[in-house]
Amino acid sequence: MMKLLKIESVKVLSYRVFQILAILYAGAFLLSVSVFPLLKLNTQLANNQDILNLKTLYYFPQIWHTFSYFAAKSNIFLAIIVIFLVGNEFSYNTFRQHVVNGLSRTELLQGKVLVILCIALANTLMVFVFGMVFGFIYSSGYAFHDIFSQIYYLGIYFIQAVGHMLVAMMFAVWLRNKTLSMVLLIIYQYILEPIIRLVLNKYVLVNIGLYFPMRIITKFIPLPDIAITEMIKANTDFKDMTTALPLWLNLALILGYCTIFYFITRRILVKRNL
Amino acid sequence: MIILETDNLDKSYGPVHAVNHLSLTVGAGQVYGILGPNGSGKTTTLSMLMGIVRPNGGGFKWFGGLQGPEANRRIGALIETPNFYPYLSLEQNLKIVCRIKGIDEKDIQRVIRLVGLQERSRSRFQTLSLGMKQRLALGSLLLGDPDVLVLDEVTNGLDPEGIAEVRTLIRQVASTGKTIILASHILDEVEKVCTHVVILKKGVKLAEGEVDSLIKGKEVIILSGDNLDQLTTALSASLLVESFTRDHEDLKVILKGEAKTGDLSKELMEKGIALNRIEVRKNRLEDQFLELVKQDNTLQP
Repeated sequence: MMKLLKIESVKVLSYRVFQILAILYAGAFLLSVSVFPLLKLNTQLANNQDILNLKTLYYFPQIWHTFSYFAAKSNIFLAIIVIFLVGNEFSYNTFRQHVVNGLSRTELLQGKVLVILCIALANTLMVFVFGMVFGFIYSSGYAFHDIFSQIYYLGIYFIQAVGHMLVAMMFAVWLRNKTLSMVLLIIYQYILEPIIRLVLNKYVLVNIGLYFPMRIITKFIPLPDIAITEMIKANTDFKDMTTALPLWLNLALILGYCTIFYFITRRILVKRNL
Repeated sequence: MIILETDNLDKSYGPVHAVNHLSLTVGAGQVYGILGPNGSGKTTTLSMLMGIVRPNGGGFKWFGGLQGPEANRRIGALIETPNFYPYLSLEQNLKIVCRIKGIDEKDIQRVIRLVGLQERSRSRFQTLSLGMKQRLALGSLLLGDPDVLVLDEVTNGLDPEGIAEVRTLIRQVASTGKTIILASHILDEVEKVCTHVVILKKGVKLAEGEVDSLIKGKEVIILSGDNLDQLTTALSASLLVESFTRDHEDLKVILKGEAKTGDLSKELMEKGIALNRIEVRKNRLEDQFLELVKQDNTLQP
């Protein structure tokens, strides 16, 4: 375990693409969370009362929900980092060399899973730090016990990030080509699966789309409550919001998918010639 | 002691039978050459032995019973091209190898000096010339001073000086009693460094044995005369001749075991055939190798 981590650390930390993407990710996140509360949305109702104060999203403990939501939005960057890291091993023939030098194929995979866990952990920490900073800046009058009451959203964010990167790893091991993996992941995530979900929802079973992997991985954390839901409710008399799955079921599904992705990837890697 | 034993190792890629029921035995201290033309299954064989290609059938044992990571960590192997991270320095690349094999990282400086790359040890791998990359790969397989080396076409792409350096290095390592398994399509290379050899063609073992008895033993006689047809007929009839081939205006003749060049010359003279040229070539391996590979039946030394 430590051995694999020490091997991976040499490769990952000196990798320029990783450094740049990591900085970009942190920068994009910081920028989006700093700019968002400054937005003026046209949400005033007839009685001229602004029902949507975006700054409330930055109050403790709501901020954990908000920040986890934003961070999860940019997880595709993390997925691309993983595609680069895994794709490199194939384009440089280094997975092959590692096996020749005496790593097992399962160890190759475990090393990458460790990298994924570390990246997810580092990002969760980043979200936590920004959350603390912004929470203290924007919240006025908070009770200390309340600060952390929604912190579990960070845990959900962590699992989402891991899931997203595991999917990316599966594509990269399957296709062994960075560009192709990236294109296919993006097509699947943004076009293919959403269409499948729409069609199935319409013609087969309402809400069946909620069970699909990319839906859960990218949209586990719902929109922060008060903002848009309130807006929609107020504007359209919309009573029944689409019923989402209960938390435990979402969790069970995402963990299940992670396990499936890991074992599919392992099977591909163990069976094939390198 | 037996270092490596393969038992009917077999691999097909679709319709191509790359390695055909190959059984080999490599003893400790041997410099064992795997010789064959391109596409004869050398790299596939080594790839199976190092666990990167899955055999369709048969098996192999390293060190009397090991296979996979445990065996590989005790072997220094280079298959095809040197594989390193282009963006990492030489030292960083070797550090990864040390960590995989569980070798003390102090050994890095030793092997870098050994292959003469000390001035470049902090350069990125991608800035090296092809020859330097190959030398780094050799250095990397000497990390931890393994008892067994597996080399696949190591001199590919090197200039003559580089080739000579690599061969010297191999001989140096061999002289310390290590076992070396070396795949090559160049006979000269095998003859110069190997003690034992197996000859492959289309994945089939044609011959196996000591280099001295197998490919160094025979002489080739080059004959030419005005009437080649007459000469051909005479050679076919001769009891002294084992085989011969025609190469443009020359005939290349291999004599049977005890026969001497003089005997042949006398015989031809008695038949009234005048020769323009008679030349004995020792160690014309190329000819004998081609001869061996041309024959389809398996040949035992």
